[in-house]
Amino acid sequence: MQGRRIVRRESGGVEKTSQYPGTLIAIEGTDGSGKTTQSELLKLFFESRGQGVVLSPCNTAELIRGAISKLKERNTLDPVTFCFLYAADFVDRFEHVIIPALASGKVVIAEQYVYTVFARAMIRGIDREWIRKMFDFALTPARTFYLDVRFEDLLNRIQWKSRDERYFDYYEAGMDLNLANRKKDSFVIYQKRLIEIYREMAAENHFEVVDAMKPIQVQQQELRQAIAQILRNRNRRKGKVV
Amino acid sequence: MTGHSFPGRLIVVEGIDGSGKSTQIELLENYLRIKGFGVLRNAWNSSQEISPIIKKAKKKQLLTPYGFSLLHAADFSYRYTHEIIPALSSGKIVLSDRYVYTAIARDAARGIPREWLVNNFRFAIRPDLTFFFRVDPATAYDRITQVRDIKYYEAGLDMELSMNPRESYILFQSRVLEGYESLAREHGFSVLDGSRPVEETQKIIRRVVNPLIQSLL
Repeated sequence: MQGRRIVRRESGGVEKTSQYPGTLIAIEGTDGSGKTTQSELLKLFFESRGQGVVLSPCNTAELIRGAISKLKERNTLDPVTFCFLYAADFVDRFEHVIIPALASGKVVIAEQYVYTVFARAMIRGIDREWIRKMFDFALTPARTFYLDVRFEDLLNRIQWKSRDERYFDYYEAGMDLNLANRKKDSFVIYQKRLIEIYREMAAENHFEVVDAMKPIQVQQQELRQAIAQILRNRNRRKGKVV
Repeated sequence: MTGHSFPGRLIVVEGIDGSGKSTQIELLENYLRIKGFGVLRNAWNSSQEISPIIKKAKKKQLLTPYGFSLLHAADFSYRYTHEIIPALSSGKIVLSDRYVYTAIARDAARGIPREWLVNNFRFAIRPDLTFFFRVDPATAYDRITQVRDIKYYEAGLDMELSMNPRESYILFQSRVLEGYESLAREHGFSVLDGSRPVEETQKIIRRVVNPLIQSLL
């Protein structure tokens, strides 16, 4: 089977609107922000309305994922290799899942798009321009929603105080950065900085910010309304009767 | 790409398979060891950690040009961090059988914009010496096929240039060669004729390498 080839563009910049009939929506947010819950509810919503929809979670390329986990376990994953592997993982998902779905006119909900990789790379000292250029083959979503959690709320949500050291994930605690000896302490420094980076990106790239501390159903209402609006606008531009 | 201040030296051989570069690098390795130098030889797509994934993905023939490029970049950066840089820091002479130029020439031949590739490999230091083995693709094809079959990606069959493997190989590798030629001009590679006898070429290589290693004695 042949893989699809990415459409080449004239300029190096990120494409603003996709030339495909489908619509790309990205959902970003830190660990524990509720991305998965919201994305799945969105999928149900579109399906119930008879709209073709594809949910693209962040872990589709089994082959590459396996290697990333193995290297992480051995703690030998340097930041540059980290970026290339995540980019390879992303391009696989982009070319084999996202583009075909957009080409067939579907709504694609991408849970964690390029910005999560940017945030994780930058916190590991990677130059922002370098990683941005690496991902400049990717389409800019019609809209990116950022599920924002205040750092203090994140700690409460995961019950940081009472949570035992062994229940902290090595990478979610950013242990490869040698920020602290205990995962529990490292988690605090790492996630706080990560949220700062996400917020900077959100402001700079005009993400739609959703308060992830609101009740799930309220957030979902906001998302549905905003996306319905995007679809209406797109259809109108294309001269379809809504 | 920037120069380096490591006590070791980086020598690179580039060229398409069948150009004779691997034979030459082995001879050079012996020469340097006999002179008393510590040597690390390393090959393209050889990391124990990432290379197996690339091989598996190639077998499935599912790699798009970008996927192909990024996985090879991961393999390179892994070896760069864990093999090349430590060896240079400890004062060894690193003999690299292919370097970032392979990726730039090959992936550009698959239609990937060159600026994108150059940006990706910006982190890698400029070699002290780069030898480019020039050979025409038809000769290379005949040399390789005496020993083994031509591989799918090597023949550029993913590019659908021709159904005939030999024809496809020649068309694709000619594009790769064009990329090499322009890199050779830009970066001042030492260009060698891959069709010359082994001893003759090795003599030329040693003549170019000698001044570099004299400075280390």
